[in-house]
Amino acid sequence: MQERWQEVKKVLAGALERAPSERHAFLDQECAEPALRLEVESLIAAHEQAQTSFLAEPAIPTKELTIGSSLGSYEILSRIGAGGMGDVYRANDNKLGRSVAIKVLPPALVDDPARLARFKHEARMLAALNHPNIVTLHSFEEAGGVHFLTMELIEGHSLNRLIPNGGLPIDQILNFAVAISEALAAAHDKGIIHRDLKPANVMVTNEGRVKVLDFGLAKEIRTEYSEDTILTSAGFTEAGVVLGTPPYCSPEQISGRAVDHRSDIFSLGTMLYEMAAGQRPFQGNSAAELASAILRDTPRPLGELRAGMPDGLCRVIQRCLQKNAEERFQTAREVLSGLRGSATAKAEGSSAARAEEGFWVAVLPFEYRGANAEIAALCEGLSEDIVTGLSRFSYLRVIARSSTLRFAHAAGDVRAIGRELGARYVMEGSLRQAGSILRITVQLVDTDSGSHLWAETYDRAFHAEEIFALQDELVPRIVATVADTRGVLPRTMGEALRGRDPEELTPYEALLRSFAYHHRVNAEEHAAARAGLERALKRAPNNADCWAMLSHIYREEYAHGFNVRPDPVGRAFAAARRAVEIAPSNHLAYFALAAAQFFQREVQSFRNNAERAISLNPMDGFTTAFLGFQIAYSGDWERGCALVERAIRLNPHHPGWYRFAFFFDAYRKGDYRGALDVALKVNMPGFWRTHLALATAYGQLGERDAARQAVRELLAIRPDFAMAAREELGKWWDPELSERLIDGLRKAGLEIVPK
Amino acid sequence: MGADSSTRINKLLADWGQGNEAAREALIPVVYNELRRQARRYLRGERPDHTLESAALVNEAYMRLVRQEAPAWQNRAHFFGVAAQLMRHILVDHARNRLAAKRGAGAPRLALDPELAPAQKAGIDLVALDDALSRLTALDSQQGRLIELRFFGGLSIEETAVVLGVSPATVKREWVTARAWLRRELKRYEQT
Repeated sequence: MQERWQEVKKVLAGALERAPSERHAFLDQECAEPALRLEVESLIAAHEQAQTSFLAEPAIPTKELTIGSSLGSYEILSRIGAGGMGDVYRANDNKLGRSVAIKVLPPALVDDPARLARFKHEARMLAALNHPNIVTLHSFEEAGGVHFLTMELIEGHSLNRLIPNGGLPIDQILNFAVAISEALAAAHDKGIIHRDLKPANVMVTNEGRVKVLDFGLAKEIRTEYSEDTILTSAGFTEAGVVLGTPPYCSPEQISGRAVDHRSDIFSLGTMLYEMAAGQRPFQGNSAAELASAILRDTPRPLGELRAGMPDGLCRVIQRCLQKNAEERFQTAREVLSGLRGSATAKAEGSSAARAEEGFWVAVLPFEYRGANAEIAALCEGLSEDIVTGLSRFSYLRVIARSSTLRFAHAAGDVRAIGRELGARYVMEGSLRQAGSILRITVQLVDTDSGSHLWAETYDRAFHAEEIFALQDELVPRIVATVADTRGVLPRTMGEALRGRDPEELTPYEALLRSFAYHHRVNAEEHAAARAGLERALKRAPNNADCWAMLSHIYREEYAHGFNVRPDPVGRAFAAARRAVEIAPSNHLAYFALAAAQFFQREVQSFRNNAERAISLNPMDGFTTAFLGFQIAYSGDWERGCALVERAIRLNPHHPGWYRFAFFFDAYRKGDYRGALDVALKVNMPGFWRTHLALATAYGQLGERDAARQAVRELLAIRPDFAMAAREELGKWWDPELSERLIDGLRKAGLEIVPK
Repeated sequence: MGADSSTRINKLLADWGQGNEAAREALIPVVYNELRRQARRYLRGERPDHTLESAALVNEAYMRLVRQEAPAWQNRAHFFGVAAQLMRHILVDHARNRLAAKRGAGAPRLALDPELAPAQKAGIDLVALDDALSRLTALDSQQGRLIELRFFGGLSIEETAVVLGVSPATVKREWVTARAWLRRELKRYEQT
């Protein structure tokens, strides 16, 4: 009977593949036996009677959207995929005329108002992320009872389909790793944890760009499991059925403990391991075995599974995969720093070659020889946090802590250690206790010349219970002083390159060279910085730091009148926009964008982007001070002055101009004595604004001799000031304050040409 | 779910994952009861608009079982297969009970709501289909599984192809012929 059916089926299939008009001839040819023909004909009749929907619609409604139907203003084009998170469709946005991806939310989520509200909140935060390595969420909508998200449509493949048995090429692993880490860093900054990071959630576009999907969206789905309903927490976790993707779960996730952003770092580690080895680090024949492996096993060393794995990359992956979250990289930025270290080591072959490329910075573990456990912890915490802090400055190349740890107790010549690490600059520190006083000494050495670039001693009362507060106080100061664009390192690096032939500089060197402008604000330096950056961007058009600095340099054409070309503010804005597009978590990019918008009088955008720049890297004193006075001048004096104060605290060796915000704040309030006190502290002779401040304050106070002297010095620097004053002041201050300043100048004896 | 049945299911899933076929058989009634319990909970009036909700609930519970990546399974096909089988049991039992209730046999009304099964709205007699499908399976086991996966399991042609380890073209061809055969069987059943 079964054989008979196979025979019938074969003829039937052949007949049904043909047009009805051709079937008769086909059956004539195929069916020698009349019974066979009758059988097939009765089945063809049944086929004709059956509506196309017969059995085609599943017994259980899957709430699928029909292809070609409309959902709000979207036309559903095709189904892309399905998942626990809901089905995904490709759709056309008829309003905006673009293709989008639509993700339909599962009913259990939609039906619970509290969860839906939380989910919406999460989605809003996600929509605000806007990072090139994170799939952009466009909107959260509802139409005809269907709740859905619209997202950027990605044309490409998910990473789980791209990993061959033997693993991916090393440079591709590094590219993917950096991109995913960048995405994590941006999301973690906003407090968003992915929670379900796995190759299936990473898309590689046809152009090779990496996009992480479903950030944080797993959270509300997860909540559901912890509630009473069908699949409660621990048991199903072990079984490997519920929590999405157990092979990529962190130990804390798989055991149902609280999860923070470091869980994502573990998942990243499992992905990187799989990319490198072509197999997952933790395996098991059953879900329980898998869970046990995640909780207890040490993965096989990558070096055994694959020849030629760079040590640095192995170490990065191993560190991500630590069972104890405390022992992993603590932030995605630390991962990035580790990856960059290993990338260069790989590309250049050795740390000696790394030195040649230049300008690497190493922070050695700080030294403490005492027995106090709290101080030992502080000692470790300080150097670790400094590394993290320095890593936030995209233009610094910081050697990963995993490489410097072996020098923890190395007594030796710093220059030799620097050579071994391939670091030009080495920071070292020590902690000593004397009675109730803790002395922390930090210094920075240029291993090329052996010279001390910077050293600072901090004496603090020691209280065991306040070591974290102490750490939080010291780290930003140390980092800000050495790392911001005006800090010790960029200044030294910029100066080291000033003598070099500009044509020979690499893009990175051109960037560092441009920092020298901050220390020599004049037309010649300005021209050199601009030419160097423009040349660098021809070679490296996606260098966000270079675009950001070029934006600053263009803006300075307007602010200082150096080497002016048409539309400096417009060009500054465009360059900053480019930087932000390339690197949306780069604080310099937002700094540049905000600073340009200040001059475009885009007050609200300016303030938003300024705050964003500051929050992206609160340890950048220069950014904080510069945007602080711009915020003050834009009318929010309180916030602006508070920021400037913070910048001053960050770096006691700050430039005098940081204080101008206080001068103008006092002046506008009519507190001319207070304003004068500030102006006297600025101590920047040769800068026209110093003399403007002194002249106007003395003028208002009626101190005529001092006022005239200040005016003479102002005119010595800016002979055109009587003509240019209105325009010059109008760039920075509102008309009312500008007129008050002009009034002060008049009282100081300088008549300003009327409008 | 109660802690007991949760533990039990986990144990069975793990055993089944290791290739113990008896565990699969034991799994079906346990998960089935769990799905029913869930449906009852919803139908007790915890929600005003319960008809669609129960469908959605069971659907989602099922989707959750089926759609998860379960790499620990020796064979993905086993998993999809058992889930589809499970849904078949639930739906057909439901239909049988309704039939019994209609005949006034005093059978307790089953938890699942008619809305759950659009098949009935579409005029498909699930009890008859179940019988016919059993006969088809005897005739051609792959076709039987294919219908089970597609209709009760809700898998697409592509997904079914993956589970059965054949090409989508083969699934389409088998699908068309099996469908014709079932249609004829059901027609005959109606006429008797």
